[in-house]
Amino acid sequence: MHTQIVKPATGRFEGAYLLSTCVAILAICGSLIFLRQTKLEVIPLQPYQISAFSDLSKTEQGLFNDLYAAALELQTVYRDSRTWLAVDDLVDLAMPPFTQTALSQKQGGHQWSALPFNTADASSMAYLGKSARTAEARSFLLVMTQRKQRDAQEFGFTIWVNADAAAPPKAIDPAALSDTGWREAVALKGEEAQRGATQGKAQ
Amino acid sequence: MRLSRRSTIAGLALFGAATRSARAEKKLRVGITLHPYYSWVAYIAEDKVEIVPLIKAGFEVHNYEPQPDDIKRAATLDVLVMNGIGHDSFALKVLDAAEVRNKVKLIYANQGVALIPTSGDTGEAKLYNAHTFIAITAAIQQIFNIATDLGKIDPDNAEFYRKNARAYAAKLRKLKANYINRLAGVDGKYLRVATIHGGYDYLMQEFGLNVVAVIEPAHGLMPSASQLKDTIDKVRALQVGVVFSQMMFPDQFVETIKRETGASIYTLVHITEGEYTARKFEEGIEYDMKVITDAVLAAQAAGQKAPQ
Repeated sequence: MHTQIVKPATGRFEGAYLLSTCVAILAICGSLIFLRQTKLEVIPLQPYQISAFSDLSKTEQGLFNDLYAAALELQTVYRDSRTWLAVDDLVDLAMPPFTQTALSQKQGGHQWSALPFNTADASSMAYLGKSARTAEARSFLLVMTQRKQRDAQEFGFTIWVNADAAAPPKAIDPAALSDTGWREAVALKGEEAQRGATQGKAQ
Repeated sequence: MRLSRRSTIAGLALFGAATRSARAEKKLRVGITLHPYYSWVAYIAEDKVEIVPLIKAGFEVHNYEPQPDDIKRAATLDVLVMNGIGHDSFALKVLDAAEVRNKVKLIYANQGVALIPTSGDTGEAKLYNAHTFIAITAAIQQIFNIATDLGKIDPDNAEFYRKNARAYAAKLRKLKANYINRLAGVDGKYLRVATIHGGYDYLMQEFGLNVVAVIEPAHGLMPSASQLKDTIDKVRALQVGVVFSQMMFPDQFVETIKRETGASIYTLVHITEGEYTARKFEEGIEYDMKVITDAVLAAQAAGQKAPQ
């Protein structure tokens, strides 16, 4: 009589193959994730700067964006006419935030004035928006500059905020503004978002 | 022989003039990815350029996949105006497929635009909102960016583009002022507003409205039954008075939210649907501004305020 002992089909080897395949996939994927890690670019903010993206209230962000759009138009006008528009011109053009609207009265009630100032190598103009109610929105200062570089014109502008702007600034440069409580609000721009950059305090 | 040389010189001169004239007549072919860019370029450049929508009208931009025709069209472009921070990542794939990535000059409309965070609960990290094309102020920033960049590519018409950009910006500002003035005497910031889609933060900000939640289950996708229930729970929990939905959100879902929460529901447009026309942006944004101001006035009349 022939007796053959047949081992039960446990699937032991198949299980081991499957397990080792899973381990191999996890190891490969884990290594690839580790190798392909990239560091997020952080745009450093100086001590006198704040983020317009995360450090302004929603109301202030609205005012900031209005000023930002106005600055682009002021540059365009200067390019063709070589003059910075007066506040009255901006009001005539119904350009926010200079023009008074039902909304601006609920968002700090800023009173705007032009502050012409001189710089050695540039044409400059500043616009001060003094807040009537800083709890709603702080005071704003828009600083426009234009430098002639060989055949091209180089435009720049900065936007500053201050909770305690009792008087117009005596001098308009980063050190003097910073000393009197002004902080430059720096926008997170589309070109920075496009490359995945964020804003952070300078080390 | 002498006559023949003169004829040759005259012929060459004529040929040169004809070539110059043909070059002058050949308009820049400016591609655009989204409907608002069609309108903006149409106002800035008028007939100085030929505007070419990269994707045909009728496609939904949130889940768009490039088609073979798009690749053919892309191969003919000189310039492409794109958002660059959302909604049109397909454009670069199309340019790559058409092997014209290095030939076509890109104008990123948002390059110098100041972004704002997405409203609602997005955890600790603030995410930027890519819908800068559903707004007036952010639109004006982009219009000046496009005009400046187009002027660099086509310096002969740079002043023309700048002049038109200013006129268009003034027109849009006036349009917005009409609707802002509707809200004289109304303080909308106490109204608790939610949007079904995260695309309206820039516009809501311009009207001083406080978006407490974006209750879109997933960007550009239809909600499941359980997601709809979560939406209803969120509207109730946040005591939202007004919900702004959008055209592509199904009516039966809107009706269910309205019935279950008692919130007023209004529908906005995303300005990325339908035919491409110069007036598309104005019409879309005016529609949205009218709906928003109607909603605020109705809520004011009904005495809706933020819960204490």
